[in-house]
Amino acid sequence: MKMKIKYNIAKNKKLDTRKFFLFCVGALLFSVLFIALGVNNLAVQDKKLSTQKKTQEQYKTRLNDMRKKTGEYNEGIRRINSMWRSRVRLANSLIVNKSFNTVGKLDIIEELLPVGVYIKSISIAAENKSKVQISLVSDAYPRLFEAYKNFSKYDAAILNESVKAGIYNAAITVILKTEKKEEVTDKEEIKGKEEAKDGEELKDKAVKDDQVKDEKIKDRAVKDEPVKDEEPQDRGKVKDRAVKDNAVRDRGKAKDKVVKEKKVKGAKLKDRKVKDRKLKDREKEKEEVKEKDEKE
Amino acid sequence: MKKNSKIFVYSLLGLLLASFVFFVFTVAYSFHESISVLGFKLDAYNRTETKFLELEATHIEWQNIDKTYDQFKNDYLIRFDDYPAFRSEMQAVLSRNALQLEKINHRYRNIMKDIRKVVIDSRIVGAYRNVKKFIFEMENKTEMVLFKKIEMSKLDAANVKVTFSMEVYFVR
Repeated sequence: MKMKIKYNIAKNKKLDTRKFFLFCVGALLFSVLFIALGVNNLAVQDKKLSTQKKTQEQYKTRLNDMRKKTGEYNEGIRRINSMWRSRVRLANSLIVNKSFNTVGKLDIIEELLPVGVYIKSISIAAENKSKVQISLVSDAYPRLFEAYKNFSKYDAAILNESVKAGIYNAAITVILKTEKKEEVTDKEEIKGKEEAKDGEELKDKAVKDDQVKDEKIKDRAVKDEPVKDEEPQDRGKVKDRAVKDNAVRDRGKAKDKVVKEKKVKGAKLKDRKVKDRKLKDREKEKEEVKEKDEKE
Repeated sequence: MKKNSKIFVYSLLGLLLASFVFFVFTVAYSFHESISVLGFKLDAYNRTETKFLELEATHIEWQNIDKTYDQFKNDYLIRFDDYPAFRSEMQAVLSRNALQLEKINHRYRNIMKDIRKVVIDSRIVGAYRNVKKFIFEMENKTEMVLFKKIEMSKLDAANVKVTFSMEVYFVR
């Protein structure tokens, strides 16, 4: 039996053809896949970009158009404005002035006026926009001071204050912003407003009539009021005045205090009586008004 | 392995690597471009457009200013031919509110070619609430009746004296 002896004398290993073929095919396939995906990406992106570019160009064109037109419009507006300026200004000023609300200002003043303080005069000027000058009268300083406090909500400035025969007179300015919010066109609204005003006016009348009655009593009441030791020096500053009053009171003698307290009590009792009368009068007034309304 | 085969294998690997790098590059490129596209100043454009539209509306308004002005005149100014009627109406309001007319002075001013202003300076006496009612009635007219100045002072127990300056605008 003959033995076959095999020797491999090749320097390199023999290639496995099948594996080699598979490797080549795989590498080629992957390369093609990557290239295809890349190309696809680029194509999609290009499409997007071209669409976007078109849109951007449209935007740019529109922007340029807008810029051009903006200049034209501004020029046009300037030209029309120069022709119509005075007329438009007049119309605008009239519209602004129409919003001025005198009755609203009077309403606020009435609401803020404390009992025992009366209005001597009111001056309302549209030129001063919202500034209203009011002259107040009162027979007692605390009441006047209360009025100052009430009006201080509306930037009150005290112009002057004087005392004559125990009657305090003061002139103040307040800034009352009561512009009409919108044009009232609905008749019912106007009617409702008028009715409301009527109610308030009746109330005002009652207060006014009280004032008349009060004035008759005032002379007596004023005489019984505690005597004011001094006339206020600093009329502009209410705060200083209050501090001063306190200091004067502290400095006063005990006897004087007792006498004053008695007088104050007397005045208070009289005030109460006056108030009771006012209430009765008001009730009567209201009843009369109701009767009148019912008749109407 | 033969030398030729080695070269072939290296070439294939190079191709694979190159295609992979190309793919990664395209992905990165797409991402970058989409960011730059998103970064287009669309907000700024929208703002400009809004402003432009406002300006356009204003321009249209200004172009129609003659119509608006005519409408304003028709709606809010009284025809001067109706001035006697206005005076009688004012008198009626005064009478209705039991107000006594003490003094009245009419001043005429031509403020525009087509607009005339009448300043009525007047002094009336009456109850406070009636005065207030009168002011309310006159002030709430649709037409341009404006109180320029009102000075109210106490006359006696029941009445107040009111001096006022009123402006009424008429169109010819």
